[in-house]
This record gives sequence, C-alpha cells and structure tokens, in this order.
Amino acid sequence: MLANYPTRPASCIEEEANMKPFKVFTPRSVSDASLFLRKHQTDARPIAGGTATVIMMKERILTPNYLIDLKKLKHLSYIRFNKVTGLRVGSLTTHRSIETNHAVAENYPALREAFASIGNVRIRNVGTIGGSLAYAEPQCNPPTILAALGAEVVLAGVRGVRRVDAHKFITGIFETKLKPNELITEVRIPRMPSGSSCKFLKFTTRSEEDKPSAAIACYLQIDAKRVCNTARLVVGAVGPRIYRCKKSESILIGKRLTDRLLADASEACTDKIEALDDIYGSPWYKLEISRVLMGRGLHAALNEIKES
Amino acid sequence: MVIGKKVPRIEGVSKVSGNLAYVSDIELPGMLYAKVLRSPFPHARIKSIDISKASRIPGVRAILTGKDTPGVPFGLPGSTEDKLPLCIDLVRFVGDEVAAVAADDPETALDAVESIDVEYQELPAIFNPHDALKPNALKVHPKGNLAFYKRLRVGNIEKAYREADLIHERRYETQRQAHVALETRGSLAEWDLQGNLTVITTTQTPHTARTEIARCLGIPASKVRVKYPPMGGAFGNRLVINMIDPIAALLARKAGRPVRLVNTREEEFIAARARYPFTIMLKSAFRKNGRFIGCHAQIIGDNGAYNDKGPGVVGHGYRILGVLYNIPHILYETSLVYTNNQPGTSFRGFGMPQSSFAIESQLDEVAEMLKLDPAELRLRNVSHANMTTDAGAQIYSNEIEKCIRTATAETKWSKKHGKRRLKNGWLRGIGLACTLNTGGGNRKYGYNSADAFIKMSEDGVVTLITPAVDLGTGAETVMAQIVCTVLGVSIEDVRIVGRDTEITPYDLGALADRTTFVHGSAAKSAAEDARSELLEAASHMLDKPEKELRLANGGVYVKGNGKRKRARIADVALYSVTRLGKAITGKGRYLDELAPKVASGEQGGFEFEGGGLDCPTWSFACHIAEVQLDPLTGKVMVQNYVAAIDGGTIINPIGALGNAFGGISQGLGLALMENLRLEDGTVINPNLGDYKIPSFRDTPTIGLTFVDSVDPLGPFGAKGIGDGVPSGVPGAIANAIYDAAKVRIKCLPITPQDLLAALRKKQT
Repeated sequence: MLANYPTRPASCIEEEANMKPFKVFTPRSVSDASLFLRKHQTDARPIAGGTATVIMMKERILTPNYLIDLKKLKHLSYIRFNKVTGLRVGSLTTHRSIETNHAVAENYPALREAFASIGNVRIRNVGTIGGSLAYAEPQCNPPTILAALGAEVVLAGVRGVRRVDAHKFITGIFETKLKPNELITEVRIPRMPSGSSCKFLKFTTRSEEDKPSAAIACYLQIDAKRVCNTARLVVGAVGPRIYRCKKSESILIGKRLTDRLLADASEACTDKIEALDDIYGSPWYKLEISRVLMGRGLHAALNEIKES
Repeated sequence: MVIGKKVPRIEGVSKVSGNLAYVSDIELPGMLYAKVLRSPFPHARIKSIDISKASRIPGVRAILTGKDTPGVPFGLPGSTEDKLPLCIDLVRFVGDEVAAVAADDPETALDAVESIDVEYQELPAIFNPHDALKPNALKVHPKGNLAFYKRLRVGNIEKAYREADLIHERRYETQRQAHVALETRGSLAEWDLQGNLTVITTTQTPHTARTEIARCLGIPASKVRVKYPPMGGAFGNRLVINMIDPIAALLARKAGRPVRLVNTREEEFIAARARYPFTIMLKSAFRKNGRFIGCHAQIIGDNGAYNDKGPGVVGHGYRILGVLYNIPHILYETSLVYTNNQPGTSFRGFGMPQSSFAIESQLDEVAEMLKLDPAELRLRNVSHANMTTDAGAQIYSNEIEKCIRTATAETKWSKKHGKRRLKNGWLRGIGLACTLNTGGGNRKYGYNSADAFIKMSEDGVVTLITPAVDLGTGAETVMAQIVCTVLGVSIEDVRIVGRDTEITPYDLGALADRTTFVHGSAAKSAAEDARSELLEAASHMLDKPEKELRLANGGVYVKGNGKRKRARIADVALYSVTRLGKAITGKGRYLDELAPKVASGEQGGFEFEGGGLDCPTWSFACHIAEVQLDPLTGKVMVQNYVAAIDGGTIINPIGALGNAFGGISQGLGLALMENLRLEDGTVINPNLGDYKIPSFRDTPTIGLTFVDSVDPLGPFGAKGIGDGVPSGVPGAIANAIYDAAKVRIKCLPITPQDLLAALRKKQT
C-alpha cells in the first residue's frame, strides 16, 4: 500500500489554543516568585502542573500577562518521612509521586488512595499537591484527605513563612487563605500513632472518571480500651468548601466506639453543610451519599484498628 | 479470500502514528483562521451589529454578518428550510450564528469576534416542547411550533383494544445526547479565480453537502467541489451540513484567501446539534398468551430552534412495531415541536434508541403482568425471514429468533432472570432488549444506488474509485477486502481513491448501514467487471479457455491442474496493455430501482402506509445486560453485557467488533450518564469534564456474537451493523435494573439519584 492518506504537516496551529498572549517568568527561588507576585499582583499567576490553569486560560477565564513557572524550583519536590515528626511533602511534588511513594503507602494508605484516584494518570503525572490546594476546588481529593489527616499547609511570602490548618485553608469556591504574594511551599502531615486509622471514600454518579458528588475522609484514634481520643471527620465535594464534621466528632470523642455510635456519627456528619445543586446531584442526594460514605468509612477505619 | 478475516485497517498506521491529516490539520498557503460569534440569548431580535472595533484589529481580514450573505434559508429537504447561515433579524437559540471573522491566526479571530458589538432586544423564549404545543404559546417560527406531524396507521387500534386481554399505558422520556466525535466539525474553503469553490469538510454525505452548500451561497452545484478526508467519527452528526460550511466559504470569498473554520469542543456541544429528546406515550394491547396485538404510540420530539433531521428521526421507531415485532394494529403519531433549545440532528440509530427504550421497557412491564418470561414474550411476537409483516414490511433475511436464543443461552438467562439476588450488599439483575436497524440505506431520498470504478495499473495494482465515506468505521478496508477477493490480488495491492466529489460518482452518503451493503455491492460488481477483462487477457496469454482459469494469490491458475501459478496477475495486466492494447478496467453499480418509486409513493415505504419497502434489508439484535446496584446509593454497575447480532455475513470481524463495542458504549452513555443539560436554553455542561461519556473503567466485559446469517442481496451476504448497535442498550439496562431492584425508571439517563429516590419511595 502506497501512501494514500493525507499527511499531517509537521507543525499546525491548534484551533483550541485560544489563550491570550502571555510572558513566562522563571524564578530562581520562592522569594523571587513572591517579589514578582507582589509587583504584578493579579497580573501574574503561578503555574505548577498547569492542569487547572491552562484550561482556565484556554477558556479565557484567566488572562494573566505573566505566568510564574514554578517547575524550575525543583527543591520543592520531595517526600520526607520521619517516624516521629511525620510526613513532609514539598508543594511541587506530583500526585503520581505521592501515589507511588513507599513511605506513603506504608504509613498513610488513605493518603495514597486519595492521590491514586485523582483524575487519571496523565493528570497525576503533572498535577502537584500544592497546585491542587491552591486551586481550592472542593471536589479535588487532596483538601479532604489532608484535613482528616490533620495536615498543615506551609505558606511563604514576602513577610515570611506561616502555617495554616489544612481544613481551614480553603475558604470558599476557588478561595484560600493565600495572600496575593504567598506561595505554598510544603504540606506537613503528623505521624499516625498506634490505634489510629484513616479512610478516604468518594462517590461518582456518572463515569468512574467523573468529579465526585461526595467525598469523605475520616481519621480515628482509639486507646487500648477502644475509647476514641481523636476523631477528624471531613466531608468534601458537596459544597463550596470542605467541612469538618464537628458534631459527629463530638459524638465519638471520649466514648467507647460501638456500631450504634458510628451510625449516629455518620447520621450527624452533614450537620450545617450547605450542598450545592449542580450536575453532580441535588443537595438531598449529595448529603444522603455523604452519610452513607461516612458510615462505611468509619466502620472500615475501626475494623482496621481492631485488626492491627 | 479475506472475507470474514480479521484484516487490520488499511489506514491504521496513519491513524495510530498521528500522521493522518484531519480537516483541522490541513493548511493551505495563505490560509486564514475563522471564528463564529454566536448568540448568548435563546431568543432575541438583532437591533444592530457594530463591527468597527473588530475591523480595526490588526490581522483581521474579513468580517461577515447576515447582511453579507445571500439570506437563503436552509433545510434538507428544501421543504423544511428554516435556517439562515448567519442570522439577520432574529436569533432563536443560544449558539445561533450571528457573525464571523477570518484572521491571520485563531486568537486574533477570537479577539475580533469578542469585539463585535451586537445590540439585542431579548424576547421571551420557550424551552418545553409540551408548553410550545399549547394554543397560545409564543411562536418560535411564524408558521407555528408544530414543525412536523405524521400519523401512521396499520389495522385498527380500537379493534385491538376491544380484543385485548390486557391494555397497558405508560409514558417514557429520553434526554439530549451529544455525539462527541473525537474530531470536531471543520470546514476549509478556497475559491479559484473562475469562481469555483473547494470545500474540505467533515461530512457523511459529500454529494448532498455539495448541493446544500451551493444552495446557501446561491451558486450552481457544479461550482462546488467537496473533499472529505477520513473522519474521526460522525455518528449521524455529519449527515446535514453545518452552517460553518457556507460561513467559511463566504469568508474565503470576501478575504480572497482560503479560510479554515473548525468547531472548538465547546462549540461542538452548544451548536453542533445532538440527539433529539423524546416524550413517548405508549398504550399497548395484548392477548393473555402474550401476543402483542396493538400499540398506539405518541411521540413528541423537541426539535429545537431549527429543523435539521427531526422529521425523519421522530418517525423512525415505528419500525420496531412494524418490522421487528409483527403487530397487526398500530397507530403511530409523531409531533416535532420547535423550541428555543439547541436543534437536534440525526444520531446513530436515528430515533430508534429512544423508541426502543420505551417499547422494550413496556414489553417487560407487560411480561410481568402476564407472568411470562420477557424473552418468551418477544419470541412470541418477533417477525421472521421471508415474510411480509402486517405493517407491509417485506423481510428477506431475519435471524432475530437465533439472536434471542444465543444471547439468553450465553448469559444463562433462565437461571438468573426474576431470581432476586443479593451479593455483598449489591442487588443483581439481568435485562433484555431486542432491536433492529434499517440496512442498505434508505429509499425515501429517491436514490439509493451507487457506482464504483476500477482501474488496474500495468503492474497489477488495483485502484478502486468509490464514493464510500469512511467515518472511522473501516469502510475503506471493507471495500478493499471485497475487491481483492474478487480479483485474487493481495489487499496490499488495492488502493482506495475517493474523498472528492470531482472524482467519485454521485452518491447518497454513509447512512442507515448503507456503506457495506450498497458500496460493497458496487465495488464487487466493478471488480467482477475488471475480472472478466483480466480473464479474457489471461486466456489469450495462456491459450486456455476463460472458464478453466482461476484468479487467486496474485496469480492465474488453471483449474484441475494443480497448485502451480501459471502467470502473475501483474504479468496479465502488462500483457493486456502491451499485447492487446487495453488496460484492465471495471465499472460496477448497485442498482436500487425501487428508490425512485418508493420516494414518489408509487410503491410503498413506511411513510406511505401499507408499504415497507423503504430500505433493502434489516439487521437485528438481542441485547442482554447484567447489572448490580447499590441499594443505599442507587449506583449501578454494568457487570456483563452480551449482544447477539444479525448483521449478515461479517466481512471484517475487527471492524464489526469495533463498531459494536463502540455502539454499546455509546448506548451505555445514553442509558446511564450522558445528558446535555440546558438551563433556559444554555448548555451548562459544554465540555468533557462536565459532560461524561463512558470511559474504559465504566465499560463492562462485552460479549458479542454475530449469528450465522446470509443476506440474499448484500455483497457476500453482508448487511452492515454499525448504525443500530446503541438502540438496544437503554432498554436492556432499564430492564436489568428493574430485575435487580423492582423499580422502573422511565426517564433517561437512569441516574443513581433518581434510582435512590425511587427506591425510597417504594419502601415507604
């Protein structure tokens, strides 16, 4: 068969590349980036993996004049585990690196599970933990699991470094505690003491590769008498931000955990949550699913502790 | 002999290497890029359009508004005309074309489009087809909102109701499904100095597109040449031209340079049209023994703002009652209603999936009421080979019974259906649906024949000139298989030439499982013509009578004389040129003499009652889905899917399997997840993040069987299978869900939320 089919030219213009023109600034350090951000404010936009930013630029939702290319800050890509202090993950670490890291798999299986189920492998290969948090999309897995694990987000800006609890970091849809000149540099996750377990579950209504209608993460720590010392229950994906389920936690803390108690805690986990009505489901349905998932998560966590 | 063999795609390497140029890859010297300004309102009057700001942007080469167009309303057929390439006074849906710009690059074109100031006066709009039918509803078009109405009648439905032991009535609804072809629609237009236009475009119907484009531009069709590279999917979406074709042509004429206009994915979702949503009311009459004796179907289709393929699509499902099942009394009423929603267009199955979902759901409801097995109920009502149904359909080949028996045996149906099963908290169920599709094209266009030409080079390489369009279905490979089988050459020595209306003979296009049947027959006939020339030359060369010669393996053999090749076909071809003075050629035709008669009403098609000759053949299938369902969340997982298909002889199992897998996947999307959602006329999920199609992770194991079947008219007994596959899926899934949970969802897609709500309602 001779060549009988039309051949693509070596280079062609992408019809969908409808981005406004922009310049790329490559900082040599975090403070370099902060200073640039202070100077250009919203005219500049940091970019890491670009999985969210590029789409928004193609849709012209974002039209920055400058992109600050963080990928060159290679020292911010690391996973360090210490048995006493816990896990430290650099903000430019890709989802895939977390998914495939041995220390993560061994010590934080729920964290691995949450990162292994982000989007698809092509997204996970480029998307970063810091980028995902800064994007502040409650349907993304990282905010929910990190809040349950009691993580802290480290922020660096022109005025120095500060730390924010992961569950307080996202304040609204696409809104965070980040100040205009700040960047996320690290995520710190405390160690998992004995008698503890964490679970992450999400639920998609359409494709398995869809964004979730509801996601939960729950962390339990109990003593030798099965009395619950710590409980961190988080509902993500249903509303404008992620929610700590304080009422459920208070049902569990200080008590000996029984099936009945876990059922009560899951039933209460949607207290004061405002779910959004959108293509992923009605508020009724999302909250219903959250309670089902929380029940399943709590039972799985408790069973795991019992078996260990 | 490569018929029935797994022959890889002849263009496969070009595709998987990323080398094949689609319309959006083709660049011509001096080419400009175009973008369209679309209406943000569902219904508004255009008061003024100010292009002064846009025209000052450097790099902008041409701006087009409705006033620059001939203003000829478009419709196919012409009697349905209602659409202007660019709106002049009124916009009627969100996405309606208002203006267009050609510029040096796509970004500049988009900047310019965004700089055009249009002053609109918003008008009230109507989105619900049922509201639009009310007497005082606002009118989307001056002639009123009922775009099309048809009433088909067989027997006397009242008689069926009088004789019935059971009358069952229910209402079903289906949603808007997007085609989501990997390649979006595109058009590249170029004029020469003599005023001839060449359009390189994504089309299933090149010769029709040629006349349609000419009509929009007010020029003779002879001035228009349509080229069509291999496509990245079409699924019925490219049966009718898109307004981007005349817009690109007009921009190119104005700018004096070639113009390329390609839909973005978002435009594809908001303006490239989708599957028509149906409301289907069914009132069926049955005898105690399960005999289906009558059905009154009322279908209301949401046409959207313009006609497109609606009139054909709403009536198509009639064939389930009149051909698949043999029902003596049918009253089938279809209404197509204008709204200010995005218009629909034809989509794989052509209205059959919507109707099938309703009818197959209803059959299962009735089976339960009559305490009959759903498979048995269908076996008592399906049509057979070599029969004329009560609706007048003449059926030659038909293996639906074999399909039902095969699919039920493969899934151990009788051990599973109706046995409520619970495993690890999941409810399990199994469901069945039967379906059919028109085959060999459609005669109502008045022409359904096709021609093909063959030339053999002096080195024995064969070129087939065919109007067959390859939408991504593997049509060109099938054509090559047919030709090489007849001529005894290897498939590597067959080349396909076409994709250009200046080269290919007049044709109807790729629709209604037409390509393998019609073009395959024409290619076979052309190859047979060339074969007789080849045999004549070989006879001369070898001094043997023609009837003693056989062509195979690229050579000529003498019958009864062992396996020794007496000459290479290449030698014969050269011999014919140098010694006989003529090159080998062949001309072939599939002649459909009935098409003009059916279209004129002289002989009956379904559109003219009591006929049934509206297509040359029918394909049939039985689908079975096995699902499991989480009763606490309503989540449905399809565990196993089986389809037994009667598509006649399968020419290429790779292609047939690929078409069937893809079709089932598309049907699963329709059944469970896909829904192009409009709020006040605006699509709220116009991207692949928010509009979900099944991924590999959503696709169950699919078991396919092509049952033994030979069509008396098709090439080597083939019928074609691609079009009809999705049709059976929604019914099979809905019935499996009912088997698992005893709740029936009558509205597509079947979402976990609706299912959980129904489960809760049932418990209380």
